[in-house]
Amino acid sequence: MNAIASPQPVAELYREHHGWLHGWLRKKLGCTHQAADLVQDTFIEALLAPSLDEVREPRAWLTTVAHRIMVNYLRRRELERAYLDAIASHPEPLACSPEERALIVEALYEIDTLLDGLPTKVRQAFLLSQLEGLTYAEIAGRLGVSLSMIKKYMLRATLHMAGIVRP
Amino acid sequence: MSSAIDPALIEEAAHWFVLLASGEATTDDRAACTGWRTADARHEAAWQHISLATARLADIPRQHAHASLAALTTCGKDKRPGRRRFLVQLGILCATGVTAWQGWRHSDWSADQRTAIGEQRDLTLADGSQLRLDTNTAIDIEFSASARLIRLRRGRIMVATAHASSPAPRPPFLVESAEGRVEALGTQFVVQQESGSTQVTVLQARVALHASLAKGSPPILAAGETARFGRQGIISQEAARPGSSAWIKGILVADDMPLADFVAELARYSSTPLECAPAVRQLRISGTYPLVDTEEALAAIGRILPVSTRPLRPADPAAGVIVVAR
Repeated sequence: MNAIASPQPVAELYREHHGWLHGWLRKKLGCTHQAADLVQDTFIEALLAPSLDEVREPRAWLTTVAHRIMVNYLRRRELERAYLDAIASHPEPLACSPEERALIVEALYEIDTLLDGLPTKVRQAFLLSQLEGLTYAEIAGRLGVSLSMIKKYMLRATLHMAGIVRP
Repeated sequence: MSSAIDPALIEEAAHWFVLLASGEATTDDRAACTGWRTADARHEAAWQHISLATARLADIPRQHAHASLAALTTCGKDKRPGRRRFLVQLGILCATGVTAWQGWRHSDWSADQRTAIGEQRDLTLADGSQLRLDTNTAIDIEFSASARLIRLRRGRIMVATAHASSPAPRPPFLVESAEGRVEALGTQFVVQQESGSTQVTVLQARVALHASLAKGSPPILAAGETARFGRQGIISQEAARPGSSAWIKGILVADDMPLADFVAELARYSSTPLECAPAVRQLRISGTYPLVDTEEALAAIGRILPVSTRPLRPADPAAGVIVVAR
């Protein structure tokens, strides 16, 4: 586990930089409240950074961190929209409380992150198996590839999720 | 994660996972997999690693699978590769005494901990308190200056709060379920999220129950007592059944237990669904059974009661197992 930066440099960093960072994020996102949230997230990450003292260009460093946080946030929002669209076009209405929805979107985000970097067909095969419960034969039919290919896809996705990337 | 596990074994475990996930796996396939898992503790660890890695998909409720699939596939076209998963251990963050950073959003920054079906895990929190997560459990750890909060999203946990090393007052230790909060009053206790209610069992000292919609001073539960509460308050309260906390040791202790309850408890640890036929639900069972090996436990009841197990749907072994009259 990484050591935690002492709060002092972070407090200084915050005083000096939160103004422009907020402005930068607000311009990108078009929403001052959302920008304020992401500024907080960025400084929490600064607080957790193992070697904050060694950061020579705090402005560049903060921009990099904030950019990544923003990309992740936008990705989450994109997933949520796609999910809500799919629900809206569902033949039967799906009952779902806001809490449930938040939990599902959170799970989707994590699954998406775990599957990140896999080719589309590999993702599809794995999700059809694990989310929809289709058999490999059904998935092969759906994706138009051979059964043995589905098994390869499944193995690749499983290893990828387990943190093992094969060449 | 578990970098100590040999990647070659993880790959073997992944092969087993892919075999069993085909939707056409046979009983022999399953038995062979169980054989591989039990042959060596490192095999089991590798299997757990795979189970845990894929467990996130189990969080999607069935009726949302289709919409979720659509979101995950239509949304995956324009992605940059290599985004990394970012995890924050908030409990450790707060342990340093830094409390200036308010406003983190629950969904992003909570320290998720979860166990797969059949898995139990121990955690030591930043304040030294100990947690035991039971099978299929998910919690968030949120420590701040005002509270040491564990959100129990599902499953069951045992809490043993740490003894204060200094006389300075510490923020209250709370376990939050869907129905309310359980406040530790220097103590060891178990909280289980059930469907629509929360079960609390006190092993040592006392806890206070704060049902989310209840008014007035919270009821106090003492060692040896168990209570189920809803949002309005306590639904039932009684002396804890002996052995009810044996799950901490991986054991199910039955004392004249209805078979239906026994099978339901076992099912929580089984990766395949378990059911109990109506005709045998009222049969009574006593004894000590392993939770870690549900197949062995099922085989054991077949030796004691006039019951046997058969596949729920013969054409599809993955659909689960039902306990029926022999």
